[in-house]
Amino acid sequence: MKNILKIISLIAMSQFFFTDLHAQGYTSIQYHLGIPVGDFKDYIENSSYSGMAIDYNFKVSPSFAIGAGIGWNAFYERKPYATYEDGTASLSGIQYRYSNVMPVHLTGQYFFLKESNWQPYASFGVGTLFSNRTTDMGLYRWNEDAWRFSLKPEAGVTYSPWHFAGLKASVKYNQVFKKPDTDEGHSFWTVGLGVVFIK
Amino acid sequence: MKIKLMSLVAMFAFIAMQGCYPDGPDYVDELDIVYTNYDASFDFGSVNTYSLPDEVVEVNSSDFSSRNGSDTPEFVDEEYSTLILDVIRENMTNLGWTEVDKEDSPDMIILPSVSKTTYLYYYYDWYYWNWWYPGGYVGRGWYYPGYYLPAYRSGFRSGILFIQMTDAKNSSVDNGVPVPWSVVINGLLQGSPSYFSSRLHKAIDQAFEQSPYLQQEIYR
Repeated sequence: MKNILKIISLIAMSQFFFTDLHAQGYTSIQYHLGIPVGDFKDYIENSSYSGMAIDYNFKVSPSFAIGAGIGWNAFYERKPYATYEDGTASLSGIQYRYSNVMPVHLTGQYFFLKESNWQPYASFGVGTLFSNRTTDMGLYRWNEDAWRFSLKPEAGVTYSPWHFAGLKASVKYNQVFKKPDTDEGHSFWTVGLGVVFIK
Repeated sequence: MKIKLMSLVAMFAFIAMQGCYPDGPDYVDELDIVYTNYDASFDFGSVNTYSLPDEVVEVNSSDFSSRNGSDTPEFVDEEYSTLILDVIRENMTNLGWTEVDKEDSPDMIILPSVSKTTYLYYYYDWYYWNWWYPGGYVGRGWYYPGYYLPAYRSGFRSGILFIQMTDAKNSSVDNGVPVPWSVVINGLLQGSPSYFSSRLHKAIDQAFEQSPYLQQEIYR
């Protein structure tokens, strides 16, 4: 939580400083479809239809912006009745698996067109991902919270027919680095659609 | 225009928040689980006979303390104890085991007990069976060679059927009673008697299904 507050503070501070430099700031709010991959997909196969992201970027040059973003997605899957083995132990039942993930990144963003309502861009983020993973089986619950280092390449486009707002579509890949000797992957794709406010 | 955009943002937020609390279990039986564990060094193929009591003990938290075996604890209602014992017997027979009287030196003894509680104990006091167990060995309590039973707590009122298969030939006064195979069946105590019986039957069958090492040699 302290890390989140630091990120939010950084965003707020950057807005203050760069407003004086007449930099153009963009705040986007997007709906996020999440698609798990790798070990994460082994845990939960279903895509997440519950998710959103808020990003703030400001242009430090006509084609480059820096900023920060925070997102959230909820993944869920009901595993049918099955037997899980661990050593000599066997446990049978229905599993309900939940994973809430919250990526937080500092980003650099490159715009390919300088003077256009359409602004295709590529972005790269470095940050962290908080995950809350819960497995329910019978009356029992296994719960795990974790922070992981994360990288986020992103590509997208904004369309700004108005001077103060526009639309944004993006594809992001959240590469989440897991601890050695674990299979607790959290990497996932997101497909985002939302609005951009320009200041 | 700004108002329209704010409506759009609100709509996005609403869509995003949908499913924040995804589905969980819809029916009671979706919470039923079956846990088994065993001593990997024990050769179940080298033993064949077993004995089963006529009752299923109901384990209560503290109101039974007859350590000398002179008193009997409470038993599960006949409707359910008959079901539990019959299903165990049926599965053991299908796996090639032979039931004998407890006085005829069985290789193994199967002890079924039930606990109704919001706290889940997988251990209960040995004296619940001291009234029946042959040889007087249970005075040192149970032990689980080579494996451990998990312990959990739950806020729900649930029931546990605990089945222990003890090694009657290797029990001793000094060491107590080894339990090479254990079963813990847990679920909510809800539903009609027939529905409950059906769940219980299915769960006991599952315990044997997931324990193929119990199969006798001639049936393998």
